[in-house]
Amino acid sequence: MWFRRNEMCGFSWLHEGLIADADRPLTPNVSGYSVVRSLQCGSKNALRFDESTCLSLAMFRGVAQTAPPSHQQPSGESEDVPLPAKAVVLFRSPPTALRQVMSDATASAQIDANEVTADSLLEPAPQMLDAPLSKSDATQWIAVAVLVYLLICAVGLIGSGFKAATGDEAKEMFAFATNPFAGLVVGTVATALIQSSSTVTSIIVGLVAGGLPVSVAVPMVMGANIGTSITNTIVSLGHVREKKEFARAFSAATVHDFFNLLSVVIFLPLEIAFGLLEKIGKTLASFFVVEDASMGGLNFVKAMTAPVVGTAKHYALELGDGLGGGLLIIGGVVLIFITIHYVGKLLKKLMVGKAKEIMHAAIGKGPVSGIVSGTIVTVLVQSSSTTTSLMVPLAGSGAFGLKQIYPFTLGANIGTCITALLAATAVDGNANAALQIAFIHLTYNVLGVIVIYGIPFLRFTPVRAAEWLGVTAAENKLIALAYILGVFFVIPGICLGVSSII
Amino acid sequence: MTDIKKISTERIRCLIADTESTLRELEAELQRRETEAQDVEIDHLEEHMRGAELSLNSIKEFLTFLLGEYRSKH
Repeated sequence: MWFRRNEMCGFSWLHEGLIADADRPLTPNVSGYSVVRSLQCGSKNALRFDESTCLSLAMFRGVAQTAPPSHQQPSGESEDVPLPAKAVVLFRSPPTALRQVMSDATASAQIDANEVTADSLLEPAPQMLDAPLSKSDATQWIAVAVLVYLLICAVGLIGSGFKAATGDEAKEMFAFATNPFAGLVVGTVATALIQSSSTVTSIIVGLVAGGLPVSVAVPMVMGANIGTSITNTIVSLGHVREKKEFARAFSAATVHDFFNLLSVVIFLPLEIAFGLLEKIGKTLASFFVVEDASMGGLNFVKAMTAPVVGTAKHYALELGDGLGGGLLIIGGVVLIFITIHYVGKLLKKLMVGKAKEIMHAAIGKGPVSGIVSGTIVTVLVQSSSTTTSLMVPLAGSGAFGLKQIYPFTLGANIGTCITALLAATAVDGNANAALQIAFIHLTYNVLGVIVIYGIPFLRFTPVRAAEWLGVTAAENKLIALAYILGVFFVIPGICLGVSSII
Repeated sequence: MTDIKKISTERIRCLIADTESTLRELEAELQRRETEAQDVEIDHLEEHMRGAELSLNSIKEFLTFLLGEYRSKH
């Protein structure tokens, strides 16, 4: 499993390899073997050798290999050193410690370089930061563009379907949600179940374009912010085995929850009393949508999606407004779900290098840099859940304090608004309202950061609450379970029940 | 430390200056180490992204741990 540098020249992302020392025999107890075994088992600890290591592991299909005949026990019996698969360990910068370990390997354990091809890799080769755009990258970018196009079409389908299904009775249909707490709960539970605020806000944009009143949609958007923080909270449960690590990870996750809850406590009453966000959203939308102007000539995005949306509408509505509209809504929701899921996956792969650069640049530069970096990373990967979930292991490792990852989390709230804005660009129906709700989403998140982070006595309230909860949950893990079930399901369910009775 | 009342004023000023300088150096070294540790974690971003993916395993592992704790206490 040790290779020579020149044999691996087919992989452009290899900067340096490790040259095996052919003179020393392989033994089953040598650290090199256990290193490879633990790499194969996916042990994260095996990947941390020293500070300068940037380790890449490529596993490829191979046959179990026994130790060379030269390695014999004194009794004459050969000792098998079975290996489940061959492993190629490739480094960007060779770690000194591992070089010493690997030098115990024997030449006959080296991999035949011809066996290692791109097809035989079980995991894709990691991206080299300065490598030219490969064919695979170009294909993936095209796929992202297609998926984004389909996302916009899907929002158009929902808008058209909702309009057809409800006619002019959207207000009556959503009368139950005119109670803002009901709207808040619907947004929270829907997002907690779907695990994506981008999906829910895109659906809300489509529904608003189809006639859902903006005033009903605003609390739903606030609820989506709360619901999305369940994802990183569940991710933090994976750190349960080590108490201090769990306390840090759980705090890092719940700081997002507490921030969003505090944001609702501040802005929902303001919205109910003064319609603050609605007014701001309307003003911002008016800069982009001109009343009484022809949309066809100005909105090229809408023109591009018209063939797909128009065709789907044409065939669906042949079944009648109600059924056809319903099918369009369901189709649109499913399509949004699929596109956002795959766009997120693709962008994670494509943008991880850029995300690293941005985060490296933000270290030690203060909270504003953290917020901006969190925003940019979230826009790049198109998922606030990814960014906030990423903060969990970073904080769990102990390298980042809660006050350091907090600004990244706030930036994630802002960065995720891009999806709703994108969705609002090409809706069929009430484009003004769709853009208004998208801007309300953005305004709510930006104002939340400005007010809560800007006011000194409020700034670290979510941090203190999260720290307390993290320590408490680390002592009694049932509290963590109760917290998740309570905040995201039980309390919203009770509120929904009560509001439907009232 | 010897009785500080016996130390001359000049000596005290020197000691304070040395201490402040040492403190600054220690703070800088601490900051450097923390930044380095953070850089290492960010270098492993791909692994963290994989680890941060939501999976039923996290919930399963958590519930198994809870059950194990409950059984060991009772």
